[in-house]
Amino acid sequence: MNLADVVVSALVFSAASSASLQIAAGSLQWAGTHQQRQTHQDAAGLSLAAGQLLLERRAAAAGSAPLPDCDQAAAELAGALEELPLAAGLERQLQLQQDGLVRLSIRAADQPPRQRWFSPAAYGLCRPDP
Amino acid sequence: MERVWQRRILQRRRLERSDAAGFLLLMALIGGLMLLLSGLSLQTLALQSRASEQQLAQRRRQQDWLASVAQLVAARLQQHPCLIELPQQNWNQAPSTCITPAQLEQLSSGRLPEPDHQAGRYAISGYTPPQPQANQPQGAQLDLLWQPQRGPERRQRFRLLVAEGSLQGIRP
Repeated sequence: MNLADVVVSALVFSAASSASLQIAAGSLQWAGTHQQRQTHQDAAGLSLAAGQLLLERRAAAAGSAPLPDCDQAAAELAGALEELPLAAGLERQLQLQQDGLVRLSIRAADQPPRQRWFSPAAYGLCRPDP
Repeated sequence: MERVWQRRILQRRRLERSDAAGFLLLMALIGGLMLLLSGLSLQTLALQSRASEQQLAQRRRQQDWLASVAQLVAARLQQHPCLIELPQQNWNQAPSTCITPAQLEQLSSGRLPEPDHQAGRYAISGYTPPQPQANQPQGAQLDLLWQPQRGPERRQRFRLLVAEGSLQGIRP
């Protein structure tokens, strides 16, 4: 066994281990950000579910007194949705749209938003004009 | 005689040295290969979870869209209460005082009011009015077809709660 053999073996091993370390480090870094993204997505899903629950509760509490104006009902719903707690790292956007719809959009940084449209009319909270 | 022995000993030492060098190189290669394989398996796991994350996100988006479309359709049905008691195949026979053909077309298929229309189109593929049954809340069946811009179509059935000819809520 001479010096050349030792050097070649050491070179082969160190090249393989440095390549493998780089791959493993990249994968682990991605796994970390994946975990964070997953947490944000779960929290966004919970916020949307909380919005849906709020609408159903309002419908159950309203009884048989629907509002005559669906835009007013939508504005009131949007106000109540704005009051809901929001997890850290998420951003909420509310928008009143045609047909008395409220768009609730929850966005975490660097991710496409999750959004749902809510309608007070669909839950009997108002009577839309024909 | 002594020379012959010395030569043999030298030859043997040379052989031992080359064997040791080959063994060292082999071990380095095996060790390196195992390290590379473990790194690659980690990367494969990461890629697999990335693919499943994208699929999950797509499924969640579709669920959000379908639930939103159900609310939009229910809101529009609420504007035309005569349709609530009619099966979908009889909707075109509804009086024009209740719904015009243009409004019916707008109700039967369309898009969510999304600025960039990324989501795709929906269509009502079926509607069954509530069947009167004793001691049960009345529910109409709404079948929705979702046609995204990319990916396969998706169908989902919703139950619309009806009381006194008016919609009172949606159940998936």
